Amino acid sequence: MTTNILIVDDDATIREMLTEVLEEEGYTVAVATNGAEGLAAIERTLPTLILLDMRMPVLDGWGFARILKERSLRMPIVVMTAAQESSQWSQEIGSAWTLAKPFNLDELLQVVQRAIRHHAMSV
Amino acid sequence: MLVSLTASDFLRYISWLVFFLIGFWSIIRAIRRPIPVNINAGLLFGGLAAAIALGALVQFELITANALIQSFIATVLIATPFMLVRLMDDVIGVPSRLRRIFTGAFVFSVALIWLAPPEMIMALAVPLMLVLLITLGYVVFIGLRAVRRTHGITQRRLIAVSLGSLFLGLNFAAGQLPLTPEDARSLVDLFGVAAGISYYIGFVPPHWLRQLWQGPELRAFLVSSASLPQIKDNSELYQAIERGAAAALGAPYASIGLWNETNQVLVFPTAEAPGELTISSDLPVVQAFRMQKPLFVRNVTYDPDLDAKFRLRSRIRVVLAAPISIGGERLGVLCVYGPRVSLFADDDLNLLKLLADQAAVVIESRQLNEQTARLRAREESARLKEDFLSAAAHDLKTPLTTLIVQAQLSERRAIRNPAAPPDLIGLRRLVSESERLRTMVLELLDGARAEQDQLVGQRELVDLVDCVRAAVARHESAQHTFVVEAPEQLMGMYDPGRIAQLLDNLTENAVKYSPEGGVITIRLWQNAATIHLTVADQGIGIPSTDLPHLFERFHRGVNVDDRKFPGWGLGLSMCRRIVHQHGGQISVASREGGGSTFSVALPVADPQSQPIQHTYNRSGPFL
Repeated sequence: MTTNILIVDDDATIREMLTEVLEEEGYTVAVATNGAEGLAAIERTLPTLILLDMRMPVLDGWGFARILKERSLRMPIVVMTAAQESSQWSQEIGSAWTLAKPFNLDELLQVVQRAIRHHAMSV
Repeated sequence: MLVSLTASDFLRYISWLVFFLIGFWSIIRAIRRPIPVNINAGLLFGGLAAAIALGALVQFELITANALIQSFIATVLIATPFMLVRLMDDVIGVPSRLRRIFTGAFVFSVALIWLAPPEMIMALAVPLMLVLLITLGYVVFIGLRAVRRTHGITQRRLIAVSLGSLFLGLNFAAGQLPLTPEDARSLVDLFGVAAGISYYIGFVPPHWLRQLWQGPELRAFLVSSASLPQIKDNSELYQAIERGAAAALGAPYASIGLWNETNQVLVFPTAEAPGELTISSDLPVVQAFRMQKPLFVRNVTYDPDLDAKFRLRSRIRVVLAAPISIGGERLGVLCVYGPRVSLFADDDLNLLKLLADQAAVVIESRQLNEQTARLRAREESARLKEDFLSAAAHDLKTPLTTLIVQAQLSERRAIRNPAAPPDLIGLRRLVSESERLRTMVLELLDGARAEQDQLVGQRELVDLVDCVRAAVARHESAQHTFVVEAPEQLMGMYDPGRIAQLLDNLTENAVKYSPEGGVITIRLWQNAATIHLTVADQGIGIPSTDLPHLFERFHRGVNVDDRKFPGWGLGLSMCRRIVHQHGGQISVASREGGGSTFSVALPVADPQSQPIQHTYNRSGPFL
């Protein structure tokens, strides 16, 4: 069974690069440039995990997470942010996972693996 | 001996008493402060008192009237108007020709009194009386004329003195009128009392009267000083204090010196050339400050060097200075000056001291306010720097993440499969992200350089319209519509790199804060030697509280959601510096929610290559 990961980030470079990295690891990756696109992508792909940037136009990370909660979608979210308040923001949207920029390849893969494993055990 | 006291006698005794009192106080003052004004007043009223005393002794038959006593009394009488002329000369000035005529008439009259044979004295009475009356008339005339030019207590005292001289003249004249002896004596005594009382309140007014007379000026100064704290500009504040002090004392000029503890100098903020005097200077104003006591100095010597330095006016001869201090803290010095000694310098000095105390309160509160503002500004700047650091760190983190992850990814691929072709996409990503980082770091360095005014480099002939079209092309997107209204071309001498940066910042801002589908209008036109540029958006606008700080470094709008609009907060401060260093102006008009319009005015030519003209505000001189 393939694991679907959704990347929601307005930075094209980050989006493309993460896609490459995660696809090489065997994940199936979908991308969205903002929260609104992200919601549409969830309908399409039913991701196991979401990598979420917080500052985005149209619909930001907070709005996106709130709508997920309203729709009772409980897939794990990894908050990707350069802000000093990264872990605080994670708490704000009820996420247990944070990737504080600048992160490296190993940190990225570790967080992704742990989040997926943790979710699989709790379900 | 039985003395029956008639009303007329009573009047005469009162006038004697008054003249004795004036004589006594005038002599005391002349001894205490032997300056010409006081000496002349002492001689005048001392002599009058002596003459009156002699006359009284004769009347009470304690001594017999002989020729010597009569000559002495006549001399004093004839000297009275002459001394008044000299007093007036000290105070308001008498043309030297007239002064010589009066001196001649006086000397001639005295010579006649002492040298003429006794039987001729009676024949001389009428011409002597004429000399006396003419001289007194002149004293009254110039006294009343001077009243028009003076203010406050000086004016009121001058009126009293002039009235005194008028009554004295009437007193002498009444004796010559063809009246019955009783009527004449009553009139003489009446005028005598009036003259005595007028002179008394003019020359040696009692304390309560001085205070009463000082009241209106002091009150006017207090009323005007109540509005002083509202004056924003410091030099306007100091000018207002100076105007108030000069008006209160009826002096032509006043100036204020502020103590600079660090440099140990007195700074005169309203002087034409920024004036400073070191604490060791022996100028009266510095002395008053050094000794921390009010000072009255006459005959100030005219110093051409100082005049050249501070543009003093040579006519200034008299200085009144009072230290401005509060609670032992020395703030500065307040002084007024004029061309002549005031007859009442002691009162003026007293009033000046009161004014200086009042000025101290105003200046102290102003300095405290400024200190608070400085502290607040420092805190604000520290906070801004902190914000800036975190913002800077934030914005650098994203490209840095890409660099790290991409480099590691490419490395891992190369290790796993050494034979694979180079990861071109990954390499390109590394290159472009490095470029992005470089741009950001350079922008930061620019910010630092801008602080030192070294932003604008080599200028060349630039077409601004071209620059605008290029900037628009760089920022064009599907979400926004750009409208450029401009002539074919507008040429000017600018640093093309910085102008591009300015236009980038302004268009970027307009794009960043505009809603989707918003129209951004850029207009360009030339007016005389200035090119005007406006960039208008339909964005979120700027709250009025932010407008004053908009062009400050690291300032970010209160309605700017940091999460939506990350940025350095450097852009607009950069714009301002670029425009200013080109000799231009930048401003903004905006309403929260109603869009913003940035206006830039740039001179066509390089202002550095044109002669610079300075204009100075003229103000009073100072010593």
